[in-house]
Amino acid sequence: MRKVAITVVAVLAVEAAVAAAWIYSGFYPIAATQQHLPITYAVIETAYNRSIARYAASVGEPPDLAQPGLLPEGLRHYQDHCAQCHGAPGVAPAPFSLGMTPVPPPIVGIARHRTPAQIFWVIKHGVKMSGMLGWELKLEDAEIWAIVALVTRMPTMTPIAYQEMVRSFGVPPPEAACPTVAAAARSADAVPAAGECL
Amino acid sequence: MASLLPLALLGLLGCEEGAGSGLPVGGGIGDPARGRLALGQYGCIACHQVPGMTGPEAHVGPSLHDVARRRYVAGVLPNTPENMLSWILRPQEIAPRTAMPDMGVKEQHARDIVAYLYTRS
Repeated sequence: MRKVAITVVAVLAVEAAVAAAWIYSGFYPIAATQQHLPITYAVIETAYNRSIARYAASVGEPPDLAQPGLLPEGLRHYQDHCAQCHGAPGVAPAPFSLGMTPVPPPIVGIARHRTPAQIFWVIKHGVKMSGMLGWELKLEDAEIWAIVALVTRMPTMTPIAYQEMVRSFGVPPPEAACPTVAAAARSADAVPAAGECL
Repeated sequence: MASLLPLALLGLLGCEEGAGSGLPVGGGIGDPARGRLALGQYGCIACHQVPGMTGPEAHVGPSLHDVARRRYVAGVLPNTPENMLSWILRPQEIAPRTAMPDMGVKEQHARDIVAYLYTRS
């Protein structure tokens, strides 16, 4: 029995030493241009899904997301803070966000598999090591709920409907107002002047 | 399938116009390895499942696993490598109601993406 215990401890110690040596050697490929192994990705994604499900359970009942005024406010915040990384129906994210690892997910379909409370929780608290910041000290809860009100409508929103909403609410759209942004990003020499959309 | 590939890729050589789209397309065959990099760096994997690439379980755009076997690109253009190139470069000119944004892909990178997609799917 004692022999078994000693062997187990010795094996664990060797494994820990190998893991430490591997990490310290610097061979782990930290480059964002190199993808995760599928297993690494699957483990992180499972942890992410399980953690959101657990912690979002403490978020209280959502306010009435259909109340008038919520959508224009949500759209304003979305265009100011979210569309740069997450895009919108028919709208590309800003070029800087596209090469991130992990890549920020498109928000258009998120409400199909997350509850309003879960979306609220992720916006408020962010996600470690993903680039998603927590907005807790930057936006009031009511403002975050306004964004949730918009996001929950996105799965049934066409790109044209989105543009019409942006126009009718008079929200300055970072991307849509600048149809040349994508074209400018394409040609390396076309650098937009200060104050322009890129 | 593999024997058809060189033929399919030949379509990328010296095309003066994308068949059916009327958009000018020129240049050479892309590099599949660079295409793989571009599929990651332009965020394609955020919306599409891409063969041979790790990414989220994305179902916003169609899976790209069977691109080479499709009849149509985006349901509007006959599936040829040069039409796929036009589509990646200017999706909203080809189908104004599409949810696929113009991702600002540079032409050489789009060519590389096409090379990857048609050799891997």
